[in-house]
Amino acid sequence: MLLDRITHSFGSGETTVTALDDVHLEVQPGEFVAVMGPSGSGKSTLLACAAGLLAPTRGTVSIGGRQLSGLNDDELTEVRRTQIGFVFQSYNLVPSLTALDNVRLPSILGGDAPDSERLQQLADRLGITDRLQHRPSQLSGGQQQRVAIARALSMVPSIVLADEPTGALDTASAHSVLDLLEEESKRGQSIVTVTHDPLVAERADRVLFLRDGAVARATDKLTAREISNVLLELIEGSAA
Amino acid sequence: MSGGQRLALAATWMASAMTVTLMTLSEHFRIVLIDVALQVDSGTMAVMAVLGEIVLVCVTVVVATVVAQLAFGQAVDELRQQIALRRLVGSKRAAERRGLFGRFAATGAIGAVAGYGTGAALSALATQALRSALPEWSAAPLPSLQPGAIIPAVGVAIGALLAAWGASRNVLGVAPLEALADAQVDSRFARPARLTGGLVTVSVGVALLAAGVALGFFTPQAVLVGVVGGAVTVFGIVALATPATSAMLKLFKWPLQGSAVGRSAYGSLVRAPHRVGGITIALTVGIAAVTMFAVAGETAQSVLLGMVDHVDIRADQEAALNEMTAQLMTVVSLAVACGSGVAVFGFIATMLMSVRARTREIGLMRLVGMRVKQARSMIVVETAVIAALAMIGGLALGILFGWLGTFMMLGSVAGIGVMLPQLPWSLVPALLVATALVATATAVPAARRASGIPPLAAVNAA
Repeated sequence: MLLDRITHSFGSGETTVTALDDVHLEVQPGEFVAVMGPSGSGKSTLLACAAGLLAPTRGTVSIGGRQLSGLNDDELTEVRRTQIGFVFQSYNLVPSLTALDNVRLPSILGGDAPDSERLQQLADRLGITDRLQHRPSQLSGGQQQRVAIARALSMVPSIVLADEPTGALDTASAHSVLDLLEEESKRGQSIVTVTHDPLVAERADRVLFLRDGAVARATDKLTAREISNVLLELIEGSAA
Repeated sequence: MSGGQRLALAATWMASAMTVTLMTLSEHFRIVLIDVALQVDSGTMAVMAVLGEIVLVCVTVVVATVVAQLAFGQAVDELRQQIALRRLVGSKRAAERRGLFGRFAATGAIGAVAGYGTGAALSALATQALRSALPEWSAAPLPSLQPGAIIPAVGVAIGALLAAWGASRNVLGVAPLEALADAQVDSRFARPARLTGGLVTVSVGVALLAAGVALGFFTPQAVLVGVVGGAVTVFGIVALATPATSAMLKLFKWPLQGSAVGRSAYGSLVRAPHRVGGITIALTVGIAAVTMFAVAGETAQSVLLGMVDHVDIRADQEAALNEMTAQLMTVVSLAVACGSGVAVFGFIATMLMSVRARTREIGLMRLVGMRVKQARSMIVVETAVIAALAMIGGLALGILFGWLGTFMMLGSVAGIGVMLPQLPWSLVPALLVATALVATATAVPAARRASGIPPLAAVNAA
């Protein structure tokens, strides 16, 4: 995935707000990247642009070598369905569907024949095999997030985009969800996660720090403590 | 004002205007037919005509009440977050309920009064038009608004008041915590089941209907008991709409499994039983009203015409009777238009509101790969299923009520006794076409609204 120097601004004239300012991010296969920054730093906008949900004002987004600008809605939908996996803080499972149907949703929507064997492997790996016939409401938070991750991975996407994937989980569930994401990244899955939590970002291979829409710093792997320090510096920097 | 409240205002306004006009016109018909055309001092005839009017008006009032109930229920759903927030910062449950009831009651009263004004104007226009069109009308003393026309307007107001009371009860279930919790998709529709209350109400209604049938052997006034029984039964069915539609939905499970769109549509129908039950019931009562009048008209006609063959009757009286039957059907179709008009309006409005309420869910489906066209088709399929459910329920109820009503009114007349229900042959095809048209008129804007929901809606709300 490549975000090639993208800028995104809302509004016009004097009320223009620049949510993203010339941000460049390239993610290689198997890379796990965390995007951090204080509230309002443009993290969510970055994720929306990366998913093709918002078109950047300047710059281009490419996923799996394919540029998103110029695609029509059906083509963008197909990219989301096959090339992108989404993981949210609030799981965002469809409550009427069983866990299994939630996982199969992208392939059902596309009319593809489900690859049962692959789904079975995925479920085994994520430890949700005995939960597949349950509805989301019958699952714990950690289990729901595993189902959401299974859905995100079900189409073997080019990139998984995660927004505070552990934000709603207790410490133990958060820990195991992070283990899973790390493991998937080692298996070759690219992952970009947006987070406030240094314990999440510490698992990433690289950390991108945003402030006021621009990249304030980009680092290789850091410990949670080091990440916290960078965040503090950034906040103090903006206060000064 | 929330969308639900606006719908309630529109529904009571419409129902009040229609019933006021209907009442005036049917009074006109009664005066012209009984006093002028038939020129017989027929007490039974006069009583029957008045009873008929009562039935016509009651049916429209009941339909309006059902729609108002649905609309107020929707309004509570829309206001839930606000109410939860006020509860959170210290507002008492009873105070919230009182406040909401006051607003809802005012809405219904304003609708009924405004509708009375509109109905008075419509009545004057219609009276004018009929006077110049029909010669025998110009001779009769017809006011431009019949004094009795106030009765249905009052009926609509009372119905709205009852609906407001019932709906405001839902406020009691709003937890202050809801203001804080991350709102789960569609949780706002979760309401406690009213199974016991519904079953009791239906039982009382059925008992009253049975009493009406028993009385029907002796007097046409039995239909008054029948009308009350019918109304009670309908309100019981409204309370049971959720489990009833859920059970009937299973019929559609298998045919919808074939495609992604069908499955998604089935899933969202099954998951929101309260929403689906409410929308279905609006259309069901509309179809039931049409069916009921059609069946009653056809059955009465066949019975009366059958009687003419047996009874010694003067030729001019027979002609008058034939004319009366024809004009009766005109009044009946007018009533049908009133009853079903309000119901159809309620159906379309709630269906559109429900798409708006599902913004996040539809956005989520779009996010994980549902194409615009699929989102559109999903709404179309959902609308079609709801219309089919309403058709089944409405036909069954309408035939039953139409038959029972006719018996209660005519069963005691010498030489008639127990009769079989008669269905006009054109009823089912006409209903199919009309329901299909209504469903299309609903599905097109609803689907357009759904396809306009961006996938970003799922992310932003998260």
